[in-house]
Order: sequence, then structure tokens, then C-alpha cells
Amino acid sequence: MDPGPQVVTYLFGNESLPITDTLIWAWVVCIVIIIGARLATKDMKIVPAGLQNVAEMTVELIYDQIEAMMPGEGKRMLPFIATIFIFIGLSNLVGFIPGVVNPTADINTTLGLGLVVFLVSHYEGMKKHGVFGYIKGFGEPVIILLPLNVVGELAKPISHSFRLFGNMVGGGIIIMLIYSAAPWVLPVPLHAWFDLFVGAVQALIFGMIAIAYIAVCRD
Amino acid sequence: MVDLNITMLWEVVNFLVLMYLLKRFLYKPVTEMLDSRRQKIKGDLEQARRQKEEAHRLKEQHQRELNEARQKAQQIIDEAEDRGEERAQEIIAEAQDEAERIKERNLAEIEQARQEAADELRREVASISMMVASKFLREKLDEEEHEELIQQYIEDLESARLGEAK
Amino acid sequence: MVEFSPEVIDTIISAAALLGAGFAMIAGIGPGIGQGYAAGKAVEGVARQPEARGNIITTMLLGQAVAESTGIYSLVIAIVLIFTIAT
Repeated sequence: MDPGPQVVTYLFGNESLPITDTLIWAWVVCIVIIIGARLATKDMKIVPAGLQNVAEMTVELIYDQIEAMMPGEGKRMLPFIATIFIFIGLSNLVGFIPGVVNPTADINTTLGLGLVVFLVSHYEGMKKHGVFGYIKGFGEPVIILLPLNVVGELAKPISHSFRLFGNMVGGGIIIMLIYSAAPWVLPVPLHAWFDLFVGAVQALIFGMIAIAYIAVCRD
Repeated sequence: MVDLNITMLWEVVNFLVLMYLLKRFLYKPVTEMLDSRRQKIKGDLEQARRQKEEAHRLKEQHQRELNEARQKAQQIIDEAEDRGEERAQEIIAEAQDEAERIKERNLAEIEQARQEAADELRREVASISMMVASKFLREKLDEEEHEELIQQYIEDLESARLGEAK
Repeated sequence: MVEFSPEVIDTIISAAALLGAGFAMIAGIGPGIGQGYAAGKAVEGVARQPEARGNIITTMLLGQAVAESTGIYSLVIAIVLIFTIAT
């Protein structure tokens, strides 16, 4: 009994290139998002209707969140942050369908995203303060604190990604246990709780913390 | 189950591709649409403000023109009244003059006619006297008849003269 | 010195890992207290300013989700112990 990602097949038959079910579902989620985006923006009208409304509302909400923490950077950071929000949000919600594995219930997905946020935040910091000026910032307020700051910085992507991973996989394990104990009615409210509510909140948290990390590095 | 492997790279590549595609298919059109809508609303509001100002200006102008026109009309009416008054005075004066003149002319004519009538009468009397005298002379009337005739003519004359008397 | 067969050693390791997983979940106390405290403060806030209810609840959920992370770390460790070491 292993609740983790299952290896479905190997790419090119090579043992070192496994393809897991979470990866496949991540691809499915990506394709669904792209199709949805394409449908929403295929023929845009000045008076929005249907999917266009949803797309505009989503983009504006995320834009406002970025502008609140990083004034003036909303337009530039929008693609990165909004993709995190949308991809993680749908990845968390997709587990509501029985038989679908959350792509975020895989440490590879969340740590990958956490590392991307980590790299982007430090790139932004270096862009703002210059490479040397940014590195000097770690030695503040006294130079002795440098290793502590570095460790704290390195802990950020770990806590960032493990929070999402733990939440999703914990919910998945509980639902799996309930499925093996009482497969009839009980899993439904648990699905609603762990996949809809916790999933939505965790996607929001992940995105907000990504914005906060980038904003902190730019300070 | 917590094993890191090459799928992390796949997930990151996945994310980057998704980011690129969404940037192309979602963020760019949506932000452009939002911008264009913002521009349109801004333009509409600006236009509405301008039109309102224009309307206000036009209204004031019309008000001013209306006031001017009213004043002018009043002025014209006053002038016309004055002129009418003047003209009426003139006409009345002329009419009075004319009436005076006509009266005088009529009086003159009457005088003349009376004069002519008197003259005519005098000539008539003279000719009748002459005729009577000649008749007397021709028929050689007696003294009495003569006296009576003269007396009668004098009476006639007197009564004829009565018309002239005051 | 007693010699154990490999099966016995595996069993001991599994038992220790499962025990460790159980102990690790003691960390669940921390987030429990923290989230309860946050919820209590949120109730106070809503009682004082009922009109700010939506904002308070959103902020509370965000804070709770962050406070949950220590509990989640212990959960991850427990999962690793159970599913990776104990089996």
C-alpha cells in the first residue's frame, strides 16, 4: 500500500525516465487549462460573457494581489504568479473526481514549483539590488548572521513546497483509508473538505507566499 | 513515496510551457481587453464630460442670445411705439391743418359765392329797373300808376336787399 | 551479544519507524493550539466588528494555513516513516 505517485511507464523504455500518474494528470490539467483559456479568449468582446468573464475576473483578482504586495510590478509578474495560482488551484481541485490523483500530491511537483519560485525571487532580488548588493544583504545586520540567513533562505522552498505536498497527500491518505473502511457515503464530504476547501485554500496560500517571497527579496 | 527523481524536471518544464502558453492565450488577450475597456470607458467619460461642457456652454450662449434678442425686441417695440406716437401726432396735426385749410377755403368760396350772388342780384335789379324804366317811358303811364310802380319796385328792392343785410 | 536474524532486524526497524511516526504526530498539538488561538481571536474580531467579517475570516484562514505547516512537516515525516521505512 503506497499512496505516493505510481510509475505508469518509462519514457523510451529507459528505467531512469519514469512517468508517474501524477505527471500524466499534471499534463491533463495543463491541457484542460489551455483549452479553457483558448475558449475564453477566442473571440473577446468589449462586453464580456460566459468564460471570458471568468478569465477576466481571475486575471484581475491575481493582478490585484500582486499589486498589493509589489506596486507597479503587476503586469510583469502576472504570467508567473497567475500560472502558479491557476495550475495549483486546478491541480488541487481535480482530486475531487474519484480515481484522479492530485498532481500536487507528489513532492516532485511541489518542490519543482517551490524551486522555481525560489530562483525567481532571488533573480528579482539581484535584478533590483545588483548581484553584490543583494548578497551583501545576507550579512545584515551583522556578518555573523550570514549562515543563519542562508539557511533560512534555503528553508523557504522546502517549507513552501512541503506545506502544499503534506496537505494534499495527507488528505489523500485519509480519503484512501476511509475508502478501504467505508467506501459508500463517507468519502463524499471528505472529498469536499480535502479537495475543494483545503485544495482551494492551499492554492491560495502557495500563490500568496510566492508573491510574499518575491516581494521580500525585492525589499 | 517521498522520492525525488527526474519527474521534477518534467514538472518544471511542464510549468514553464504552461506559463508560456497561458501568457500567449490568456494573459495577453485578457490584459489587452481590460486595457482597451479601461481606455474606452475613460474615453467615453471624457467625451461625456466634454459634451456636457459643450451643452452647458451652448445653453449659456443661447440664454445670452435670448436675453439679447428680448432686449432688442423691447427696444424695437419702444422705438416703434415712439415713432407711431410721433407719426400719429403728425397725422393729427396735418389733419387739423387740412381741416383748417378746407374750412378757410369753404368760407372763401362761400364769401365769393355770396359776392357773386350779390353782384348778380345788383345786375339783375339794374337790368330790371332799366327794363321797367324803358317800359314806363314807352307806355307813358299816368302819374298814379307811375308812383305805384316805383313804390312797388322800391319794396322789391328793399326785400331783395334784405338777403344782403346783416 | 545476541545475534538477530535479518527478518527480526527488519521487524524491529519497522516497529521503531511506526512508533516514531506516532511520536512525530505529537507535533499536531502545536498547530491545533495555534489554529484554535487564531480562530478565537477571529471570533473576537468578528464580535467587535461584524462588518469586517469577510476580511477577518480570509485572514484567519490564511494564517491558520501557515500555522499548519509545522503539523504538516510532522505529517510528512510520519508518512515517510510509515510508507518508506516501515515497509
